[in-house]
Amino acid sequence: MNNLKTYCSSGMILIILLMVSGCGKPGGGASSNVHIQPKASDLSIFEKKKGGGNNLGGGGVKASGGDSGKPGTFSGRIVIAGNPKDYGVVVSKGETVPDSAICSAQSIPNETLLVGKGGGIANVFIYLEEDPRDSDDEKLPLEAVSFVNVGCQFKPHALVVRTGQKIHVTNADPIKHNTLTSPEFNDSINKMVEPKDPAGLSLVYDQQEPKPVLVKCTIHSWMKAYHLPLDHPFVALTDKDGNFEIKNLPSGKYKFKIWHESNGFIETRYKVTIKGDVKKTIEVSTDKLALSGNTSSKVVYLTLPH
Amino acid sequence: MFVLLSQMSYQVTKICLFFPLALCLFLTGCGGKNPEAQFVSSKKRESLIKQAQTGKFEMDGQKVDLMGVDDYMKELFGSPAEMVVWQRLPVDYGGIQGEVIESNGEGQLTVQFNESVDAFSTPQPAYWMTGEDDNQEFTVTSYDPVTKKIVVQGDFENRPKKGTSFILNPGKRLKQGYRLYMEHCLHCHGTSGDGAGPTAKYLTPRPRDFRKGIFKFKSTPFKNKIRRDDLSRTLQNGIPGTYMPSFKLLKDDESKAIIEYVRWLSMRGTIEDQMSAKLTTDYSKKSLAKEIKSKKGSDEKQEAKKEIIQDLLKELRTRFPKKANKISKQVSSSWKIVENDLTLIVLPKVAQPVYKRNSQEYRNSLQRGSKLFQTTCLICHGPKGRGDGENAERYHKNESVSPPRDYDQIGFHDSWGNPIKPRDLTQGIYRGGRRPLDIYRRIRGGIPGTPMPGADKLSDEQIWDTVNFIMSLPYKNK
Repeated sequence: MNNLKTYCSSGMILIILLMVSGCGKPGGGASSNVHIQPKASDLSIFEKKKGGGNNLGGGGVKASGGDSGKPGTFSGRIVIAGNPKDYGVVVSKGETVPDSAICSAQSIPNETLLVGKGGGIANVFIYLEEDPRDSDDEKLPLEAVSFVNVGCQFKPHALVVRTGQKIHVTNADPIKHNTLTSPEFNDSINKMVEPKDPAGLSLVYDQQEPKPVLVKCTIHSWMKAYHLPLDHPFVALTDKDGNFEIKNLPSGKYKFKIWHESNGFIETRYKVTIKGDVKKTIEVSTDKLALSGNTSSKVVYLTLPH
Repeated sequence: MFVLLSQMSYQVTKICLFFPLALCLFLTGCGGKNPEAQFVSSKKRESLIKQAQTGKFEMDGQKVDLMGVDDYMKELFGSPAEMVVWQRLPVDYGGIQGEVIESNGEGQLTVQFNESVDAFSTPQPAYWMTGEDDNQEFTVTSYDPVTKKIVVQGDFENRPKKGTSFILNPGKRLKQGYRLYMEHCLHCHGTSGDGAGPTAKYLTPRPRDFRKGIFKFKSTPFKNKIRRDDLSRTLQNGIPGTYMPSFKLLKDDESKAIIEYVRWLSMRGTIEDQMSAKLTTDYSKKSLAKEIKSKKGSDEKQEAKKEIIQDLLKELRTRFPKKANKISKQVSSSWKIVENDLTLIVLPKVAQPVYKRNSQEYRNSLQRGSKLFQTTCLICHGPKGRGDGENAERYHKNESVSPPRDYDQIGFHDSWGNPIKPRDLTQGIYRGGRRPLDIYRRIRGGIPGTPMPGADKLSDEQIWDTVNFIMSLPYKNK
């Protein structure tokens, strides 16, 4: 009886404590106090800040004031310093791949690193992020550019377009392909491109991208290409021997971005001063192109053939 | 006597030991404030250097305080407990808008509301939206629905002029949505809608990360956002085959409130991501380290770092505010357009033909559908539709890293980086809905966030044949 009484009383106290333990000042979660602050649509925070221009050196992209030197062409070559590794093929002849009758009729080379005459690197994007001109008086709209699915590859492998310029995607193979884009700011699309359909698919990028957009076919997963949409024409894609040319740059100091698909950005602040024509040979060391590492996907078949 | 004593002391000892321990354990819940809910920042924002995140610079002894990404997010969205109701976003925040018709002195105003308003309980909070007292809070202490007069109390200096607009109980729906979300959704989807709530790590497939603005099962084309109706259907039906349950038992206005909150979270995530993306090329930790590494000598390295920081300062001061403005306008319009433009809803022009069961017509349709399936679908979904096609059983490359390298796991991965398998169509579980129209939409529009493409050019008849074939797969002799 004594035991029971003690147990009961201590039990009661414990139960009361248990109930009370939930109390506390509300913090986060469903029971918290929420305060609302309404704000109008247009806010002053989106306006340019006024402030001292001192110590802002470093040079932006716009040409330095009062510098009325003549515009120039920035041209040159991008070459590899060192021995490029052979990336081999993504699809060997006769390999078992989707639609192998078409796709592995010939071997498909791995286009990740294409090195031409004298070590020139192809498909390197060299461009300015910001438009250096105050206004542009170009003749737009531009003509449509062609982008073809052929031989289970994308041609061209790398493409530069203007925002708003139409890319006409077609399929020259007798099998279906699809085009999947993964842009940063634009809408992503993923559509089938029917075989032998001349109308094809119309692809437009409305906004500038900070780096080239990956374009893939998910049916034939080795197929890839890169598109770079920009608001201005100050961009070049190196040809198969690594040559590039950007015309009519207003004079001034610039920081170019240099991007290649093997390892992303080679340079984000390549400095060039334009006062008339400038020619440069840009050497890229092999470690910047990440030539080590596995380049082709492992293939493992887990199920027995159907 | 001794026996009694020893017995008693045993009890006493037990209580004396057990009691304080239990006390300590139970009292740990008492007192003290529970932690405040905070929004989680995106990976992109995490990758930026500190000055880009906070906007605070310290150079040559001078301190400069600009708006970094965090400051924009604070201004435009706030924190979970202090939410900002930003009028630019197409979110139905709740609250009633009104306009001052006449100021009758002593805090009495004749007003006109945007919608018909009967008596409401007072006092109610309100804000001025325009005029000199813009963004000032006041309280409505009484309302007469007949004369349309309100009595206001507040700390505003100027008598509100005619035409000044205000909003009554702003953010009412958002507040309600917040509470319901915290109660029902938070544990899987996380405070910020990042799909990483406390239970998320035990779930496959993972709960949705709203912050990318990508939703799989919707009635709009691949590239467009999701509509409120689609979110409502998901809430009502749940997603079979996943851990997302049906919330049919919620009241109508409750589920509407949750939908607005989810949309708000999604817009917040997208805007934060895109603002950070404008800065990551030049001002991420990685790119700064790369620049410094490429220079030799500590003087050169210091110079390089200083130059980059100065460029960032200039960017945040001059160009970035405009970019942030453009991004938020773009995101807002992409969410607005799916609600306003009804032509975006994916609907077949040709209705699904009705066949008699086991009729020859039906069998022909299955044959045609099977043929279409064999041309492309089987590469991922497998020849028998089991989701074991050859593409699902090879390694794929992760292209979002530089250099691209194989994923650790075999098979496809979705836009959130999680492994994903092509649907096993023999199971009869259709995540996006089991109406033939839902399956039509998956084929016609593709599934965003996954490798599933949309068949733009197939005719409606062809798609219906494929739908018939797919829906017959669970019943085929295996």
